Amino acid sequence: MKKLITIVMLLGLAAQASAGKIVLEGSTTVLPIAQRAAEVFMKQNPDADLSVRGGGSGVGIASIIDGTCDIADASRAIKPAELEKASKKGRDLKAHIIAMDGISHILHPSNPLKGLTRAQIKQLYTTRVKNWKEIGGPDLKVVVISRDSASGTFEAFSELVLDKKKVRPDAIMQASNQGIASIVARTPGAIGYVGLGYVTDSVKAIAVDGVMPDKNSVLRNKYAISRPLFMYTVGAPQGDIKKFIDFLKGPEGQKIVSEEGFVGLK
Amino acid sequence: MKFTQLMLAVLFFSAAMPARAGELDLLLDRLVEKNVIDPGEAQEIRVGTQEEVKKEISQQRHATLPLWLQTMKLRGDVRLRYQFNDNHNKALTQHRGRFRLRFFADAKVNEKVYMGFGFASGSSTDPRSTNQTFGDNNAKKSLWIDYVFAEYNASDNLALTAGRTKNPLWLTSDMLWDTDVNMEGLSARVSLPVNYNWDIFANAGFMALAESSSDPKDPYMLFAQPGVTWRDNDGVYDMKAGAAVYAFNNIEHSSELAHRPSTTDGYQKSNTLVSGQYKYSYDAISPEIELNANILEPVSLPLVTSLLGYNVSYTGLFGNYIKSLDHGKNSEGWIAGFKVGQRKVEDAGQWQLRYSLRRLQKDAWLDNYPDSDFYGGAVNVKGHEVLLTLGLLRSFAIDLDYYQTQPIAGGLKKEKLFQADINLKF
Repeated sequence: MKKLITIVMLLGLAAQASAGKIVLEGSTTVLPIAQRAAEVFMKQNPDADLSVRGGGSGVGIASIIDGTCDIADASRAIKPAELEKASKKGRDLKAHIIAMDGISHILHPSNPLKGLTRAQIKQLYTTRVKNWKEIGGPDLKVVVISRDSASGTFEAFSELVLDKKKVRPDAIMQASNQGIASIVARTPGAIGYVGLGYVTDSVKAIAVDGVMPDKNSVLRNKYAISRPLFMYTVGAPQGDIKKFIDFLKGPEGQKIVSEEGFVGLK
Repeated sequence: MKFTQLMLAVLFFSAAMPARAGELDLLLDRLVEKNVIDPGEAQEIRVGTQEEVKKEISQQRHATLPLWLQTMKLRGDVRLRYQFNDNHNKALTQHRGRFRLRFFADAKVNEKVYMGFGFASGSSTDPRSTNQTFGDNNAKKSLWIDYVFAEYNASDNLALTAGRTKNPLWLTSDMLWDTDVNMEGLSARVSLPVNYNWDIFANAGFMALAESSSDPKDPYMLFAQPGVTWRDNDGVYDMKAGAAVYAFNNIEHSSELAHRPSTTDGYQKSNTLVSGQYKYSYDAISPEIELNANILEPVSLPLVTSLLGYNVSYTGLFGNYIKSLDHGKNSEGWIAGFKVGQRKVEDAGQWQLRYSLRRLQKDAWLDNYPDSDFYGGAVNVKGHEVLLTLGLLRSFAIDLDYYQTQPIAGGLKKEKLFQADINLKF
């Protein structure tokens, strides 16, 4: 009997503990911001317990609709079909824009090209262009790297650049921004696309339609392939969720956004 | 102005004029220029407003509108035509102004079932024409029920349709079926992706041809059309091929079906009849194929490119053959042709030239169904068709269509037909 009471008490404590845990899930683009922000926030608020995981924007939004996470990270806006699904389940999803991002096109540093047009990028991703010299580049085999279809970055790229045309079948599909940056850094003929925060010295970011992706061009809508980054909550946030969102949109959170390579709103 | 007040003002602005997103952008840009707000705040307002409006629309739709109204699509087109006929069997050439109006609606009744209907103009119940000719001292013109159907989507790969429907067969030309002919009956459509390169499909069904309370043997047609589609890895070449098998029942030894070519207009009724009844059953097999190539480095045609602004970016070949299965005499037909220009003409300056050559023997096919512009829709005909489609604006194109046709055998003479169409889609 005592054992039973002990087990019930332990289960009760565990339930209490899990009730206080805030789960963030979704976009791998937003992931580094969410992870850093959660770390700093938990240091400042020792009672808060935040768990952050990736999976992609679609996964995060599906999870918040199903009630398996508290905050959905998304690198694209929610779709009408997802809104309707949420509405049918009685979940009023509220969007919080936390940063802006420019989808940066990256090449291997040895590639002398400094920029491409959106039409050229579309051509590279949807047709059989085999060599960079076909579009005025070096005599080098083209290796196309893309995100998989669960990715919000892919959806934004597909809509803004490919006009939703299918990516060529020989493209190498990657599940994360880091994966793309890593392959491009090792492959002389590669082209990939990542969030601004993943542009490092090991790859070369190029101008698109003559505009380099940076804070100014993204915030002022000059860079064509820019997008907002979101966190979605169910209704107006309360308690620690509200504190965390406020923190992220405040000066400290926006500093983290900038440090992670994205464009802060402040 | 406080940020919150500004946000409220902008929300009010956007709610009042949801269609004017561009004006919201302009307003925000001006506010940024005047340092009233910073670019980050402008983005926050812009995106936040879009999200709120989207959510409101979604919630209102979910809360208030039934599924059929949420999913209803209304479409239509208008065609204005000048037509010149030079039929050498008639004493005079003919100039006519004509129009066609079509209006379609379809909607989801539930998650699995679609319904649709369409109205079309037309001077009679002739299934092969929706044209109305200007004349009759400005008399008002009629509108007919063109189609009405219900479609059950059993899965992503299988759809079943009943009613009066658009022709469910995949066709490369109108040699056998005028594009205005709608079928009354049942049909099934199957499509199965095999891999990135290959898909397979099949169409099958039943079409009622006539109904008589005094004759228990109503004529009907069964059809099946298996086929494949293929595309290469580079998005350059693709191909579609299928073979239709037609089984006509209660046609042989029955009276002629309605809506055959008009002899008073200088055309012929060529199917073989014995004592006023069909001699053959017209069961047939009809393979067809279409090959397409996108030209990745579009070819410049100096005059055309400078005039229209578009290079040649597409070319295609198509062909269809028919063999009537129950007899050997005059039982074949074929059409072969090519297309060049742009794959689709959807915008200003885009163009496509299509040429075809055809020959359809007198008992290859029933003369109730072929293209009514090709020698009045008769069989026992051969000839050419050249069609130039030119985009004038988005969804606004002109067609210049020329036919030179003549009977394969018999005493009738040739016909030249020219049509200039203005097509508007909405």
